[in-house]
Amino acid sequence: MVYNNFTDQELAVLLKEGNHDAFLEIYVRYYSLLYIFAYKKLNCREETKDVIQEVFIALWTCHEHFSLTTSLSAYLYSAVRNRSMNVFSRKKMEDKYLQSLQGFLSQYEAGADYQIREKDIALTIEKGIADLPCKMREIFELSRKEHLTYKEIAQSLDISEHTVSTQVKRALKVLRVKLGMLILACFV
Amino acid sequence: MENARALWEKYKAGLCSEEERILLENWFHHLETNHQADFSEDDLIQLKDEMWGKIVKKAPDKKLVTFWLRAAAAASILIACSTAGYFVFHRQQQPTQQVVKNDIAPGRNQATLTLANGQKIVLTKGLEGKLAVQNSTIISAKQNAIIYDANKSENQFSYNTLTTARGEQLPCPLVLSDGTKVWLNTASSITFPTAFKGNARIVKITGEALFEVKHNARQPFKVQTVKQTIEDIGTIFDVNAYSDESATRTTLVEGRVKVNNLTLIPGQQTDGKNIKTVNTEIVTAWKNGNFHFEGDNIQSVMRQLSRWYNIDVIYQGPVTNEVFFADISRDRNISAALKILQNTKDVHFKIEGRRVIIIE
Repeated sequence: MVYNNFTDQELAVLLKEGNHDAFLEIYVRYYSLLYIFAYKKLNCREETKDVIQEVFIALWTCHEHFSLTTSLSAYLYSAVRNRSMNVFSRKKMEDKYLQSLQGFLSQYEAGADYQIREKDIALTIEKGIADLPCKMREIFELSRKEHLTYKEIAQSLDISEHTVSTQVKRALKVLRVKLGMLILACFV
Repeated sequence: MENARALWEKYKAGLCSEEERILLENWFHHLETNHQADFSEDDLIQLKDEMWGKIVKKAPDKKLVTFWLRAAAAASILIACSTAGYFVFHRQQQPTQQVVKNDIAPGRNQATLTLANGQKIVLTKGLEGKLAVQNSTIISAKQNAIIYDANKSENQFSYNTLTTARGEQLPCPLVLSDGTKVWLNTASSITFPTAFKGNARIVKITGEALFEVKHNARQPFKVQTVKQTIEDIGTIFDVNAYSDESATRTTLVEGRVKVNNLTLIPGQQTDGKNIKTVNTEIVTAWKNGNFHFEGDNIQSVMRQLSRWYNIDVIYQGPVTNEVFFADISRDRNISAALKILQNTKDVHFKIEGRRVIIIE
C-alpha cells in the first residue's frame, strides 16, 4: 500500500484504525516542517528532537481516541506548541524569552483579536517548506500536489475560490462513493 | 519584565484566563529565537531516521509485538546455544582427525549472460570491452562492472537474463540501464529489461541477489520472486529466494523497502509475514566472499556450502540439532570449511567424489 497519495484526512482515519504505515506516512510528511518550526523557537537541537519524538509517540499511543476537530497540520502544530511551552516552563524561563514576551505585551491592545487561526497555522507550515533544502522542498511540494488548498489552486489557476470549491466538492462526491470513506481537503 | 514574568507564572500554574492563554499562544506563534534554521538535506534525513528509531521503540506496530516476543524467546535460546558452543569449542582443542582424502575446490567467478535472441556470453573476471548491443542499449564490461548503457530516446527494449550455476558467482556487479547495481550469489539468476520504460522498473530473480537501487519515485523499482514482490524506496537490500530455503527473505541494509504490505527499516528482515532484526553484515557476507554462520543449523550450513561447492549432501544417522557460529572464507577448499565446522561442534564429515557425508 502506498500512502503518500493519501490526504491528511484519510491518514487520520487510518491512524485511528491503528494503521502503523499511515502513522509512518504522517511522520514522513511532517517531521521536517515541525522540526524546523520548533527549532526556531527552542534553538536547541536536542530539545527539539525530544519535543518532536514525544509528539509522535503520543499521537500513536492515543491513536484509538484520536479525532480531528481541525486539520492534521493544525493538530500537530498545537501539539508541538504545547510541548515546546512545557520545555520553557520546565527550565527556568530564560531572560531572552521574558524580554520577548514583555515586548509582545507592551504592544498588546485590549479587545484586539489574538486568536491563532487555521489559516495562520497553514501559513506557518507552508512557510516552513521554504526553509527545506532545495531538493527536499521540490519533493515535498510534488508529494503534496494533491493536497493543495482551494485558495492555492485558485491562485495558481487564476480562477475564483468558489469555483475551485464547487469543483472539488463535486470530485470528492465521486471519490467518496468510490472509496466509501470520507475525504476532505486539508485546509478547508 | 514584571508583567511578562507574572503572566508566565500564571500560565505555568494553569491559572490563565482564556484571553491570556490566547495571548501567550500568539506570542509563541511569532517567537523566533533563531531565524537561520538552514538544515541540509543530510541533516534532515539523519534526523528523520534517528527520531523515527526512538519513536518506534515507544510506539511500535502492535501487529509485530507478538512476533517480537517470539523472536526474543528464540534469541535467548540462541544465546544459550552459542554459550554452550563456546565451551564445546574450548574443550575440543585436541588434534582433529583427517577430514579428507580428496578435496573439492571452491566455486568460480563466472556467470552467463543470455541475450534476447538466445545468444550466451560467458562473463569472467577481468573482462573488458563491448560485449553486445540490444536494441540501442550497449552492454560492456569495464572497471569491474557489466554495464548496460541505454539510449534514452529509444523506446524498444528486450529482456536479458544473467545466470550463475551452482559453484559460480558473478565476478563483478551488474549495472542496469538506470544505474542500479546488482550482485548475484551462486545458483541464482536475474531477468531484466535492457532499458526501463513505463511507470515501473521490474526485474525477476531466483536465488540470492543484493541490490543497490538508484531511487526514482516516478518509476519505482520492483523485484519479483516466486513468493515476494519487493518495492524499493531508495535503498540497498538483499533478497534470498532460493527454492530450497523454507521462505524468501528480504533484508534491508540501507534506505527503505516495502515487501507485500510491510515497510522495513535498515537492519530488518522479513519473510513476507513477520519482521525481525538481523545483523546485515551476516546476511551480505557472501558479497565479500565469506560464509558467516550465526546460529544456523547443520542443514542451513550445508545448503549454503552445497551451492558454492556444487556438492550433494547426505546425512548418515540422526541429524544434529546443534547450531553453528563461524566465519569462513569462500576462497578455500571445502575441507577448510568442514574442518572449522568439525572443530566447533560434534559433527564429522566424509568426502566421496562430489558428495559430502555427515556423520554425527
